[in-house]
Amino acid sequence: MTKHDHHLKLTIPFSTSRQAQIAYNAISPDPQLKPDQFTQVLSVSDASGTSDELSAGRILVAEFDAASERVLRVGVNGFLESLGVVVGCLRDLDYDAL
Amino acid sequence: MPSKQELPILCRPTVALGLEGSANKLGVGIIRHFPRPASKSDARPPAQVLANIRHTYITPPGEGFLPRDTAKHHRSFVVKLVKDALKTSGLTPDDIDCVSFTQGPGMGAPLQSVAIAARTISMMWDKPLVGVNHCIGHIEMGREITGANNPVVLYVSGGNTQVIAYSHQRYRIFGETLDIAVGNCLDRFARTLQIPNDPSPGFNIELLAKKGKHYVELPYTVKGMDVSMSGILAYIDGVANDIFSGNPRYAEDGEIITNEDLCFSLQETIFAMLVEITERAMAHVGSQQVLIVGGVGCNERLQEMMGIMARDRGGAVYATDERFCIDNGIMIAHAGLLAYETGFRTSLKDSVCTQRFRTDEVFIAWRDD
Repeated sequence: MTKHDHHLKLTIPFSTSRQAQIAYNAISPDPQLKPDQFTQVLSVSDASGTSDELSAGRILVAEFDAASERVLRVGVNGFLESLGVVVGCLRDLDYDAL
Repeated sequence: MPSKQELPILCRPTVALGLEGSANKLGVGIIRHFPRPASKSDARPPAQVLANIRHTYITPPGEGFLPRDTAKHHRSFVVKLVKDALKTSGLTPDDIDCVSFTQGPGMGAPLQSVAIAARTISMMWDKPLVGVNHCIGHIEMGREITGANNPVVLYVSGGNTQVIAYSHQRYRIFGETLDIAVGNCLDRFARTLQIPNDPSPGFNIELLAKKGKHYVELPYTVKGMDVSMSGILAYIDGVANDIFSGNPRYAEDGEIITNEDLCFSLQETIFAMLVEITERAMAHVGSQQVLIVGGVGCNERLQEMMGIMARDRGGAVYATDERFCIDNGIMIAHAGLLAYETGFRTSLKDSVCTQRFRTDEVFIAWRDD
């Protein structure tokens, strides 16, 4: 994960672990276009500092590693754009919203 | 051999949501299929279109649509369109059996944006995901709407130009473009002339062509079963640029060649080429029917020329209007549901979109002829 000099780690909290898992599954399948210059590793983790059941597995963690700042910016933007679609669907199209 | 198997007979109606976003149209459709009658001699009842909503990304005159901006358009509208489609259909997620989406061919970024929405919806609603080949969507929707049972298919759009016939569980490509698609040729000529892209460049060319009076001779590039478009485009672009730079061309009657004449000449030439290769495919296959699908398929002059050829052969042309011809979600829902009914599913790991996805790669499990 530290092949290159430019890194970023994002933690995205969701309301439930189900939502975090859906985001993970929706974004994970797509391969990176330039894997030698940019890698993106996603995982789902518990909310930090808490151990109650509600917080379990509701954080989506995205770690990026890029060959340059430009590649990092473009790659992270791509991730955020995809995440935006997922969040939009979860917000407006899930059972409780309809 | 799957062809020997009985198709599974589902005994209740099924419903699919379909998401299309392979080019500049974002489409969401909801379709219902009714069960196959117990007696095999009875035809299946027609599918019911419950919603068919489209939003097109339209660029200013002279500009094409770029993948990045098109993807942004789709991301901005996909949630709203799905919501609107559900509202139109009066259904809830519980009524839906599967979520289908265009997996290719098409532009990478727009395809991927819509695939992300399809995956999310499929997981949220706990419905299986079905990846659909865009061309198969066009063909199956055309057959469903027109009732053409075993036609030679001319698939003409901004990204594809293929002459197709069905044989042994595949839609086989008899001829195709060797370079750019026929719709791409029209779109790009519209850009040269700075014709508006609203509602579509092809439609505006069709309107201008109706006013054309003089035919300008253009290269005619049929190569066996295939056609080539790029040379024609370069040639007519050259003529148009000559005219713009103050070197008018004159017709035989001494009148100046106009934009309308150029649109007319371009249509006549490339449609004549399409009619020629379609006729040759009909002769090979022994079919009397031609089905025209794809965005260029709603051009009435193309339908008219194809109709003349088909009638000369004792056959008929089948075409649909813009609701089903131009890219739409309902055709993806329809083709997805046909595949779903045969047990086809797309796992998340296999749901990656592919820009190149040929029509004949798809196994047509739902046809038994």
